[in-house]
Amino acid sequence: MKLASKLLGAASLVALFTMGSGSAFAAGTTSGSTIANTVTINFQVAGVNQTAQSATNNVTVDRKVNLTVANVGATTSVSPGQTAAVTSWTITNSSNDVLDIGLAAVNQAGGTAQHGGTDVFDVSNIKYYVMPGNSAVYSAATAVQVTYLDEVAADAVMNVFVVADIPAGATNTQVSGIVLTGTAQAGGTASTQGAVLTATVGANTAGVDTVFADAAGSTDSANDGKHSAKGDYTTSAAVLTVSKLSTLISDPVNGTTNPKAIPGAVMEYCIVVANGAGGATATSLGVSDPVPGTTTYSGAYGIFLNGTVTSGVCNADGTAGGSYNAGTTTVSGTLANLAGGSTSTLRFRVTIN
Amino acid sequence: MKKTYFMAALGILAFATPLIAKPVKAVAKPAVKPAAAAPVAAAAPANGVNPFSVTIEFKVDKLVVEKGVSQHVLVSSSKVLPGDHVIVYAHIANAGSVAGENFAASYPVSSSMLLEDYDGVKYLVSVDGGKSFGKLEKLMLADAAGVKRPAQIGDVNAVQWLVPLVPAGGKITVQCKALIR
Repeated sequence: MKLASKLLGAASLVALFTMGSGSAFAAGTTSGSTIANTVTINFQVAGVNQTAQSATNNVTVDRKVNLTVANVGATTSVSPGQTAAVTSWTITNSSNDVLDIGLAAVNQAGGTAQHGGTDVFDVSNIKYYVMPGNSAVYSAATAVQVTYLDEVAADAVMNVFVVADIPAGATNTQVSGIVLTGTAQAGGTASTQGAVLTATVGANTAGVDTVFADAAGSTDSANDGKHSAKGDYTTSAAVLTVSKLSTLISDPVNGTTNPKAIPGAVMEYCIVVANGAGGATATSLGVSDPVPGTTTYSGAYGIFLNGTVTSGVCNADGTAGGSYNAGTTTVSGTLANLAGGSTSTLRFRVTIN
Repeated sequence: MKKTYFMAALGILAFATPLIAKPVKAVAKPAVKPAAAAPVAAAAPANGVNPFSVTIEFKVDKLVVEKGVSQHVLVSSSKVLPGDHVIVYAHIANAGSVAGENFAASYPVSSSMLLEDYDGVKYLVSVDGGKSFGKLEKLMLADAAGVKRPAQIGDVNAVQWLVPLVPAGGKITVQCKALIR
């Protein structure tokens, strides 16, 4: 679906939602409405009823603009290089009028992030989505991209999702803070983004004045027709280290007793992959190792995967697997998922030429 | 005699059976019956101008902060915002030479307003659109299923001030305070 048609769809979604919204009293008497004030007196003179007298003084309700942006839930856990990472927000229109609400999310410029930690990296490709029926649960399959919220009724609470890409260079536990700002814009025309509202300055006018009554947000001031809040992404990445150990198993002269690296000696290589404590579980963990040109791969011994390490020494365990490419003389294998704080090995043997 | 009439009206109030009223339909007799609207005799002077008049004034309670000091200022305005505290004044004036008596000044309270200063003394209230007035604690409402409940301040949709006398050349002001919803 193209963006334009998606926007129209979003407008319909909002309209459907607002039909079901509650009383307008929470946001206040509707802007532009008239409050009739009439007093009537009945009385007597000398015990005789007189013609009733009445007077009227109607007042008009001005537009009181108040909106609130809030980040929902905890930090969004992401992987380095992840695309379309989602943060959830609500935007509440507590004004006494229908509003369009402009959306603008920017990277936080350092400092403490919403859910703790310090903002140290930036996300990119920021987009905004709403869900059909104003659902608070995001689904990429049905989410509708928007650039603003259209015709948000008084009292309506809109669920908004900010979606962004995570840089590949982000490392475990790093945090990226973002700030979402909602800006009050004139409503009243569906599918058309209204102009940014401005507060009426100076004396009361004859028309409907606009008064900003919003609170100060994370990066905006009170009574500015905007509200902002912080949210954040926290990287959850594997913290991998790889080391390669070699052990002489035997030689043609000494056998397995104090073997030496002489031609004909058998050497075992053990590739140790460790995922540091706190690291995210590594998956699809492929290991490949070119066999040195001065050695010959031992097909008879084979390759063992997912072995263990004790005190820095590879144990003679693991399960047979992996493969050897004679053309490239490369050993390769895929290790099982590796949780943080764990190690795994790939072992094979060669003969020194 | 005039004073007696007013006191008698209050007496009716004091001993009245609680009113039972639906939002749109009263199911009990009025506690206070205002003076009949139909004139029996005019007290107007020879020029035909009724010497009795009523005006209504609307003021908004604004909190003004100057030099760090905040104070409430009442501002006459034809414009309000939700959350504003307002005071409605009814000024009853008698420009004639004969006193008027037994005034019942009725003021329908908009559904956009919520009374704030009801104390059961300054004025009577109605929850049936002004068909009957009484003290709030005496009023009842029945829902669509006929279940009765005591009326709440938010149910009030009219107030009535009782003014026993406005002397010749005199002016009486009554008021109520409300919140703009």
